Amino acid sequence: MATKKVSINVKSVKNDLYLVEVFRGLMLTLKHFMKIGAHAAYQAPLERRAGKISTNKRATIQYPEEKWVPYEKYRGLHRLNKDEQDRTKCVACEMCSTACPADCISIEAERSPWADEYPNDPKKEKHPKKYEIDILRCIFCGFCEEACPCEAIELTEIYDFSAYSRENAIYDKEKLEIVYELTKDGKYYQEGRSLDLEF
Amino acid sequence: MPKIKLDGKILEVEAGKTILQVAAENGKEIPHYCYHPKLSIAGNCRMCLVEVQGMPKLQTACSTPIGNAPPHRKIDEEFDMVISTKTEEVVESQKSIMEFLLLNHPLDCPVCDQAGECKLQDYSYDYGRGFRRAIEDKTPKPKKDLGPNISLYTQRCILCSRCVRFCDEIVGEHELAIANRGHKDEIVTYPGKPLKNRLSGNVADICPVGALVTKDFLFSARVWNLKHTKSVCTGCSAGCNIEVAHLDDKVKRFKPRENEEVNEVWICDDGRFGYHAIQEVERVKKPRKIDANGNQVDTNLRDAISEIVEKVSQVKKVWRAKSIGFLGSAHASNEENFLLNKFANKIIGSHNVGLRAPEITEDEVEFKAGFKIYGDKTPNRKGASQILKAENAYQVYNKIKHGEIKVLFVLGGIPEGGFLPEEEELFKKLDLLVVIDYQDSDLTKSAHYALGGKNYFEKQGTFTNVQGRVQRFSQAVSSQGSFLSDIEILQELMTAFDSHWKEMMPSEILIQIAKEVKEYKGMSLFKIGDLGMLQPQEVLETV
Amino acid sequence: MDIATQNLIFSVLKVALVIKVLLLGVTMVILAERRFSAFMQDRLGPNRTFYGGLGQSFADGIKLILKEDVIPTHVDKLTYMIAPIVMMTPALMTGAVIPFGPTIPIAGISLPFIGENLTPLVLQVADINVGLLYFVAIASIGVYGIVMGGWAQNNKYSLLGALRASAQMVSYELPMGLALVTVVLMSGSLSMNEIVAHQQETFWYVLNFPAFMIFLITIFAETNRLPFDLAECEQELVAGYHTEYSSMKFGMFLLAEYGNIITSSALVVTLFFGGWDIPFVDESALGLFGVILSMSVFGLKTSIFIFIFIWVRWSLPRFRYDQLMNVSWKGILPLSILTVVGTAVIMVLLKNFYH
Repeated sequence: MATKKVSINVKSVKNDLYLVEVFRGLMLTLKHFMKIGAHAAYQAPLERRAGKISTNKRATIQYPEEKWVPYEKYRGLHRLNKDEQDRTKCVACEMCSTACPADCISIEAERSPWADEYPNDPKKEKHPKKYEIDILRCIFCGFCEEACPCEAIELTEIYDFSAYSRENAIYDKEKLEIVYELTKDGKYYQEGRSLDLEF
Repeated sequence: MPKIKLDGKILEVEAGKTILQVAAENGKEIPHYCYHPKLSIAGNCRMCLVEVQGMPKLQTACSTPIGNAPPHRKIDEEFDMVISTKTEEVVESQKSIMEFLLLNHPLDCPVCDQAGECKLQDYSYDYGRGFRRAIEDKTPKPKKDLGPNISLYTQRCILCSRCVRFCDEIVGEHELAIANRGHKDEIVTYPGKPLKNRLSGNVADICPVGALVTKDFLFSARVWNLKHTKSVCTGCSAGCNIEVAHLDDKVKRFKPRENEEVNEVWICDDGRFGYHAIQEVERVKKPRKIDANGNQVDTNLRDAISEIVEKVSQVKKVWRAKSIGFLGSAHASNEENFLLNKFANKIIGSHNVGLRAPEITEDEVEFKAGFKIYGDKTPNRKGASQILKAENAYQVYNKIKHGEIKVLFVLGGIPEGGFLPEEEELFKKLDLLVVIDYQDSDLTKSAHYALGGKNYFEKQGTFTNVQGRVQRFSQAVSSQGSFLSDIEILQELMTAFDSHWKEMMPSEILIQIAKEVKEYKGMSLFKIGDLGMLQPQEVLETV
Repeated sequence: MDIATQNLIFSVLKVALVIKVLLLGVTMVILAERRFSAFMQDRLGPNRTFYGGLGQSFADGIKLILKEDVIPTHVDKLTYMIAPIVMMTPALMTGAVIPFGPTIPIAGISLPFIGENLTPLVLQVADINVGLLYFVAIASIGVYGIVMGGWAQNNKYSLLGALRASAQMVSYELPMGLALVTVVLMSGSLSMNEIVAHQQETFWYVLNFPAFMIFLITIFAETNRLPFDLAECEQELVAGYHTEYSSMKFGMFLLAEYGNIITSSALVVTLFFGGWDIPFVDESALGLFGVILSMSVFGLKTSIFIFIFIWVRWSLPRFRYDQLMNVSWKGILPLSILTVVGTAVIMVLLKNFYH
C-alpha cells in the first residue's frame, strides 16, 4: 500500500492565529446545539415521554420507555433451546463449560427420562440434571454457543437483566428455558416483553 | 542380536520381540487397537500396519517378530530388517483403516463417556482422513446390558476383541464372544450367562472406545475435568495400585495403576466400586460426646480433649496406667497405628495395645492369569501388627471382660463401621470409650467421645500389603467430615497429655517408624515412591 | 436612623442577595453546562429530575453532602481542609464589586422599618474606588486554593496539576492586567461604577476589540476552563488538584469553578459591555421600571457570556502545556502591550481632538 503523504504547514499565519479553526469549531457545536436544543427546550416537559425528538436527531435513548433493539448477532443473556417435543436439546456434553474462559457454567448430567424411547440413539440418553450459568462471571464471549454440538445453548438479544443478589444471578435450567420461551421468535424487544423472573 | 533400521534409526534389538514393542521402547508410536501388552496378540484391527522391506504387503507391527536374516539375505549387507512406519503407503492404509472403523461408528462423542481418553478419537485426529465419504446410513445397534456392572454401546464397538480375550485369558470364564458376521458383528454374552466375573470392570478400562462402560461411572463426569491422585486400594490386603479420579471434592471412579509386582494393570470390581462404601457413609463432622443425660451432643475438640485428660487422669490415679487400653486398626495407616502405640507406651505408659480387625472369613480367589483377590479384607493388617506388635485384640478384650481395663482408645476406619462381634457387650463395661473414626456408626454413637477423622481419600499415609510392600496413598479430596485428620487428632490428644510431644507430619512419622521398627528400616515417603517398597526379606524371615 | 446603620442594613441585604444569586446561579450553570454540552453532542442530558431536569443540581448537591467525606491517611490534614474554603471564598468575594444595576435615587424617601433614606441606593455591595484592583487581587487568591489542595493530597498528579495552575496564573495575569490597563486608560477610573457610567456616557469598551479579546482569553485561563484546564486534565492527571477530594469538599471546588465563571462573565459585561447599561435608552427616565429593566439586561448579558464559556469548553480541545506558554508569552503578552500603547495613543489623540 502506498503511503499518502500529507504536508501540514505548521508555520502558517493562519495556524498560528488559531482563530479561523476555532471559529469553525464553535460554529459546528453551535449547529448541533441548535438542532437538539431547539427541540429539547420547548419539549422539555414532554421529554419524559419517549420519542418526541426523532432518533435520527439524538443519540440518547430514553431507556425505560424506549428500548434499543440490538443487532442480530448481539450477545446477551443465554438461553437453553428445546426441541419439537419440548425437551431440552442439551445433552450435557460439557463442551460449553470446557470452552468457557470464565468458567461460569456448571453441569451435572444424568440419564434422561425419555431415554427408553430411543434405544438406538445415545444422544437422547443423556441430559443435564443441573445446568447453571453464573451470569456475574460470564463475559458474554459466545464461546459456549460456538462449542455447542447440538445448538442447545445460544446467546439472545436480552441485555437488560439484573439481580439483587448473587444467588439470583445464577441462571439455572428453568430460568434459561423461560428465556428461550421469551426469545424463540427473536422479537423480545419488538414485542415489548420483559423477563419475569425472581430477582 | 539382529540389527534393524526403524524409520532410518539403526537399532540392535533382541530377536523375538515384536516391531510394536521395539518401536514403543524407542519412543515411536505405532497406532493400535487390538494389541494389549497383557493379552494375546490378535492382529485383527489392522491399525498397526507397517512397511517391512522385502515383504510383499504391509505387516502388522503387533504380530511381526524381529528375527535374524541369513547373511545372503541381509539388506544393504548389514540389516536384518528395515521397517518404515511413515511411508505414503502406510499413511494411506491407516487412513483407510480409520475410515472402515468409523463406517458404523456413531458421531456421539458429546455424550460418550470415553471422549477425551478415546483411542478412536485420538487416532482419528492423528491418522484419520478427517471427513466421511460414505453416504449410506450407519447400521443401528442398540445399547445392551452385559452384566450387573457393564453396559455395551454396541454401535460404538470396533470389534478389537480385547474384552473377549480378557475374559478368556485373564479371568478364564469365557463369558464374552463375537457373534454374527460382517457389519452385524457384535460382542455378546452367552444366553443366560451375564458378564459377572469379579474382574468385569477391567473390560471398560481396556476398551479403546466408549463401547464398554461401567454403569457406575456412566454420565457422572467428563474425563478431562477429572483430577487424578495416586493411591492404593483398601478393598483387601493385596493393596492394588490405583488412581483416584475426583472432581469437586467427590471421588468419581478408580482406575488401576500399573504395578507389575502387585496388580499388573487390573483391579477387581470389589475395589473398583468400593469407593462408594467409603465416600457415602454418614460422617462424624464434629467431635461428639455423651453428656450427663446419656444423650450424644456436639462439642468441640478442645473441650472434649480436656475432659478426656481429666477423666483419664482420675482413672489413672486409682487404677494405674495398666487400666487404660488401646486398639489400633488394620484399616488405619502405619502412621496412625504408630502414633497410637507411642501414645500408649510413651505417654500413658500402658502396654495394653491390641489390633482391631475383622476376622478373615473369605477364601483367597486366584484367576487364570494369576491375579488374586485376598480373603483378608483389611489393607494394613500386616503393617499394623508389625507396628503395634499385636496380632489381634483378644488380650485387650479379655482385660475388659475382667474389668482390668477401664478406659479404651479405639482407632476406627473399618468400612461399614460399627462393632465387631462381642464388642457391643464388652464396651458397655468401660468407664470411658474414645473413638477416632470418620464414620457415624453404632460404635461412634455409643462412644463417650467420638472425635471424628478423615477417610483415606482425605489424608495421606502408608499401608503395608500382604507381600510386605509398603505403599503410600495421597490426599485426593478435601475433607467432607471433620477438619482434622486422625493423625492430627491423635497428636492433639498426645499433646494434651504430654506438652513435650512434638507434633509431626505423616512424612516425619514414617521416618520415625523407619528408625524404631526394624521392618521399615530406611524407608521414607520419597524412597517408597509410586510403586511401593518391599520390606527387607531377611527381616521378614526372622520375624 | 443614622446613615451608618442604614448603610449597614443595606449592605447586609445586598451581600445576602449577591451570595444567594451566585449560589443559585451556580446550580443553574452546572445544569446548563450539562444540558448544553449534551445538546452539542446530540444527547439529551439530565432531563428526569423535577421538571425537565431543573432539580438535577440540587439532587447532586444533596448527594454530595450526604456522601462519606473520605480523608485519605497520607494527606496534610489542615491544608487539605482549608483548600476548598480558600477556593470558594474568593469566588464569592469578587461578586462584591460588580455593579448589577443603576443607582436607585431613594434619598429622602421614607421606607418602612428604616425611616427616611439619607443616601441613594447603589446596586453594588461595595462601591470602592479601587474596585478593579480589588477584583484582580481577590481573583488571584483562588490559585492558592488549587496549590494548597494539590500539595495537601501528597499525590503526584495533584501536585502537577497545582503547579501547572500556578504557572498558568502567573503567565495569564500579566496580559489580563494589561487589558485592564486599557480599560482604565479609557475610563480614567478604577471604580467599577464609574467605568459603567463612563461607558454609558461614551461608548462600550468592546469597541476596543483587541483589549476585549485579550481579556476574554485570559479570563478563560483564570477560571481554569477549557481550553486552559491543564490543572485538572483528566487524561493526564486523573482529576488534577481535586483528585482525592470527595463529598462536599469536592462539591466546593465545583461551586468555586462555576462561581468564578459567573463573576468573570459579570466582569466582562461590566468592563466591556456597559454593565447594566441598555444602549440608546435612558434608564433613569423610566424610574423603578428602568432599574428592573437594567438589572434584567445585566443578567441577560452575563448569561450570554456564561453560555460562551460553556460553548467554548465543549468545542475546543485542550492546549498542550508548551502551547499554553507560547500563546501567553509569545502571543498575547506582546499583543496586549501593543494594545495598551495603541489605546494610550488613541486616547491622547481623541482628547486633543476634543479640546
